[in-house]
Amino acid sequence: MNKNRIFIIIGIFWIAIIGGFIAYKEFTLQTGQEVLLKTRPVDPRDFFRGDYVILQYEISTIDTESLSLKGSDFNKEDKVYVTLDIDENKIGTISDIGKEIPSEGTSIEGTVRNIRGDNINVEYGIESYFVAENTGQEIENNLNNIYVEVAIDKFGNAVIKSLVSK
Amino acid sequence: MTNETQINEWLESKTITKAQAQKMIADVNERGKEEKSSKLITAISIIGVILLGIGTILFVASNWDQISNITKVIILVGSTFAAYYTGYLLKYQKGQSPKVGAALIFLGTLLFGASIFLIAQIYNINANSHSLILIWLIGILPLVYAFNSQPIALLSSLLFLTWIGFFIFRNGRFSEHIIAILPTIYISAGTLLFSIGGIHYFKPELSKIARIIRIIGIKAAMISLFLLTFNFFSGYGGNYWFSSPRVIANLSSQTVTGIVLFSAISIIGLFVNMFFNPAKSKINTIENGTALGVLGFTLIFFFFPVASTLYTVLFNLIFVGLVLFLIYVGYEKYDQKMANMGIYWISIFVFAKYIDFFWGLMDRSIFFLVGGIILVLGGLAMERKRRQIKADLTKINN
Repeated sequence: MNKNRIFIIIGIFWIAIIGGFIAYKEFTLQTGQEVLLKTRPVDPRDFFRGDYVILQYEISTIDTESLSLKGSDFNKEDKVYVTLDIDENKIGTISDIGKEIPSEGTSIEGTVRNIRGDNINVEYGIESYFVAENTGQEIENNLNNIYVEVAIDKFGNAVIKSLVSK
Repeated sequence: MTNETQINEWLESKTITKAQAQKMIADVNERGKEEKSSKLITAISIIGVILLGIGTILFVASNWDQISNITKVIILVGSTFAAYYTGYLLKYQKGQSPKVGAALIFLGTLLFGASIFLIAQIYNINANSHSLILIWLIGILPLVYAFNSQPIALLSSLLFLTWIGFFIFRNGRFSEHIIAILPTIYISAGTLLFSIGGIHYFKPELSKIARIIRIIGIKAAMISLFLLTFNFFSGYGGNYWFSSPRVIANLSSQTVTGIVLFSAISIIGLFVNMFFNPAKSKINTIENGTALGVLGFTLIFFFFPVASTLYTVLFNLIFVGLVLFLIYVGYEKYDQKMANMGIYWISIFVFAKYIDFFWGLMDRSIFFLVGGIILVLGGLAMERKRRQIKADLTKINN
């Protein structure tokens, strides 16, 4: 294969990777159900990528007993789907959790990171929010009434849209 | 390579005439100047592209709020393809500036990574996501072979090792258990790179790529082996037990699977190198056999821990043996870099063990005085040995 062809193939490969990456996230943003999730902040500062706020949500820690389940029903690194009740203000709260995505309702995909008794910690891939440099602290100081607007698509993938103050 | 000394020897033995000797000396000097100038151009080009890359990334970062997301993506992705295309033109199409072209292609791979991270940032993808490193690696790997590029091979090897670290710490937790098993993971990863690098020797045109990958593999394994010479990583220490079976139980199944998978592929690769390498040299067999031995012993240590310092002692012996072997291999293969690596590691090892052993035993002032004397004398001895090896290798090469 001559160098011209190799050059073009690699160029197309790069476009496919970058385009695919953008398309994957845009699909969730454009087709996903909008939900507001209440936050609990942790700590900012990504050394290499500017300011970002680490977010924890009320749905990050799940009391399985309240859902008639047990912590021992789950293992670390399990993929789970958390079904949300969405009220008239678009605020989402946990209604159920399972290892398969339900056919109805809005469910967000997560990974079990920690199990303590009947409480499990779940990570959803939306725990970082990037902000302009040196504004992370200001946001953190006002996080009592901050909700995160996320888009959740039919496969359970979630993407952060914005922070909303209530 | 022919040099002036050799030409004069030929002249003295009347193998060549005086006119021929003068012509040859002139050619050698001219070639020497060309090589120096070529290296200077390469160095300046690489510095230039690194500055271009940093400038592009900083421009986007510092105007984060002023520029829209789409504009940011266009600037960075546009720069990526501009660097890639221009580099390709200069190296292959026009052909008049191959070194600058190669440097620009390398810049393209760096900007490709920056583009991935920028897009991740725009969509607020988790900051510690290991998959971003993996995507970067997958994106640039074909260029290693398409353009037979050593810098991109180096970058790919480093990205592979970085990805492992990001994967291990993907939960953001730095527990003792995780830190304690890092050397084992990186020995299996380093051996994997070493074996994959060795397989590249099967194609002569990939020999330079093979060497780069193998050296990175050796370095990763040597650093990990060095850590295993300390009690913290291989013995019983303090409040925690690495020797406890709970350590493996606490690891994720993916981590243990990773160690087993890397080791299995490494073992296959090392056997292939041992029995099917076209070189079929004794050194090749010993190198791959040694790598197998180190990997095998590390796996035994990992899966069958013992509540004592037995493994620590054994790892110290293995490390010293390996370093001396590196110097021997460097000598046998006329490889100055490998011999230097061995000398470098002996120095680090002696210095670290001196601190580890004597820090608590000696008065501070005596510790520093004795340490200083050992370092100065050791440095003189090492330098003399290094020059001797260099002289011997130069003589053999000529």
